[in-house]
Amino acid sequence: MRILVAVDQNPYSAHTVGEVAKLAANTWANVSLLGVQSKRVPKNEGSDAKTRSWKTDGPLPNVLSAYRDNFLSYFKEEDCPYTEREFGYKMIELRKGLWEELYVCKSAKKNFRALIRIGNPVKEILAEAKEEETDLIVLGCDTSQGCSWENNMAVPQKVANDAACSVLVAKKEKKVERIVCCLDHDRVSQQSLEMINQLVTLHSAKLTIVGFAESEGIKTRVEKKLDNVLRYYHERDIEPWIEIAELSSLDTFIAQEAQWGLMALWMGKMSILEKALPKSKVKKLIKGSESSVLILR
Amino acid sequence: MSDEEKTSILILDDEAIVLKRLRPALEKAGYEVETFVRSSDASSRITERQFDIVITDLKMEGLDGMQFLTQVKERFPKTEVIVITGFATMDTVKESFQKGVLDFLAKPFKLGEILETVKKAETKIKQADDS
Amino acid sequence: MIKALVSLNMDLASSIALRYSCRLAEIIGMKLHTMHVEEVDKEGYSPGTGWVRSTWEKGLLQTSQEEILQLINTEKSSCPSLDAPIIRIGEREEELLHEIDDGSYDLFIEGVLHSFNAVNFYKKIQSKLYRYASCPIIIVKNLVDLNSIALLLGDDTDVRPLITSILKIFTKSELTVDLIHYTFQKFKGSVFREKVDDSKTPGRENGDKVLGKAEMMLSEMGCYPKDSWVIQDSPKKIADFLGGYGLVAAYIPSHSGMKNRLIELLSQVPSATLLCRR
Repeated sequence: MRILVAVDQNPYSAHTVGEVAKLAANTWANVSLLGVQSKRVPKNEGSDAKTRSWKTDGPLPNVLSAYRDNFLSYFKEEDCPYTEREFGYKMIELRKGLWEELYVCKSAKKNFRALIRIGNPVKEILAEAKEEETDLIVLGCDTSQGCSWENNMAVPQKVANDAACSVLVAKKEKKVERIVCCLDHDRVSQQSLEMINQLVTLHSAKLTIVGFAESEGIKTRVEKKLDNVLRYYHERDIEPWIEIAELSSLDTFIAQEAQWGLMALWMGKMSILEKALPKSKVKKLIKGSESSVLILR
Repeated sequence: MSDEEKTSILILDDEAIVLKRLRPALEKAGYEVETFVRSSDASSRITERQFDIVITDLKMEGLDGMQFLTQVKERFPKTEVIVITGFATMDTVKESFQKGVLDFLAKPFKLGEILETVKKAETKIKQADDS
Repeated sequence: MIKALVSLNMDLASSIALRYSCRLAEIIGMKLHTMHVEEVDKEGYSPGTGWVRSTWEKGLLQTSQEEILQLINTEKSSCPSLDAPIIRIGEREEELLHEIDDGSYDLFIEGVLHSFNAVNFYKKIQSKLYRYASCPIIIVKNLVDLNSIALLLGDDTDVRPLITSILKIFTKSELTVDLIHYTFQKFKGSVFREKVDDSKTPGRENGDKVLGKAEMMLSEMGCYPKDSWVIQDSPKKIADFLGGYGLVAAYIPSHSGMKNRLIELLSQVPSATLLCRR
């Protein structure tokens, strides 16, 4: 699994890094920590310059170093898959039939990188995820501050809307007791089920699968999909609850179920939820939801 | 293993969809691949021949992946084992490495990631053969 | 031996209900009978009268039997005592009521998917089948671990009918029983949830009295509840708490106008619900 953690300098990012460290300790995922240096100067910095100059010892690189140390501190040295252990000479095959003894650092079992990109945060996060074939983008936000990042940018909302992979918007200090997964009637990808499974395991959380009914006519299709998902879990000795909700009461449903800590929405290209939840609503959900939100793709 | 021989891989996963995805990708990359949905079948297959690399899921009905990889490592210590799992925990990671697996991949993963790991296993086998 | 009738259709709710019933049968030593009613007189469904109709009905019976048998066969390995289903043609509730009466069943079980919208649950409670069934009814909403039963007690009048029904069905089982006295939070009023042995919150005296009576009735029959709880909260919050039980049992008299908030609570309980109506 490849995880991209997008961070800024706010406390929720420190919390997000901690959450990812816990997931990484379970999964030994390849992790990239990405900070984006926006070219725009934040209004509260009060500088006359219109663009911000880049310094390697600036606040973002410093905070990124602190996040890296914090991330690695979650692992005992002997159990850490990310630390390089020894330097020395090693025979490397340069091409078929040609070997050379090179002085190398024997690589760690898994990759952990701390990166900074310069530009528009949303574009840079999406570009990094695409280049690295990321499976999951994780980023944090604070609901009490409208889930905005620097310069009042709705970075989590936009990334969740536009990413090609799954996105987890982590809210601070909310214990995940139950993962409420709103089912997509058209397609439930294997990858999305696997992502849920890892999060269920991580949080030792219970699972609810929700099927949305548009009208009486669609009920059989919803049931069939629910049955398939249920069988998938029963074969793995997991017994999720299932629940039916009317699409017309989607907003109320989501507001009520947000108490459980993590709400997952399948948002495929032809997804019923994509139709029922236009981008503006997804943004609203991420902005206002007490619980963390996982957009599955 | 001579250079001419293809590296052989056994894949065990109770999800047919995973095998359907992995098999053609690994065959295309030049490997000889056998796939198994049932751990009992994979278990009896390793009594018939040795594989260079074994890729196994952990959570399965009957004989679980941990038992299977133990059997593999006991029988063929040189076989490199890669664990893939949808329900990863710190304990399963630890136990896997204690049993001598080469790498641990949590699902979901992209094909590139597993190919990279298989190449790592292949290099290790070659180096062991050469030395 | 307890005799239960399980209503089956070719849908997910029935499949869940059947699996739950099989687990319950294993725990309490219960004989399961299954039944499907093909409703032919629904609007736009019936093809005429006389020979045409009777031939058509025979064909329909056979198809239904095959479909329901298929459903049963998938559970047969875990529940070998399942017999061939009873298949009838007619009005579903009427046919089920007849069978419950004629067969002297101790329990009726059916699956109803857990729904965010409580309307369907209200309709069920008000239905003829639920009002006139001569035995308790289990509504299976989810396949849950049958580890423990919660007995919901609102006031003194609930104790005897609920405990009597429960003792009849579960005497021989080793399921854990918890007693729960519930009251609903009044507008912005206090909420609490505590075990009876814990410190007393003002206002829970009535709960203690009701629970004491229930405990006594149970212990007279050699059944000792594990925990007793007093809870005051909204229906939704109480329902969330009850989600941890494998079965939630309550007494709802047939004329249940006075228990609307209890029905609201039960509609939101995601696990299986046992209703005693007499």
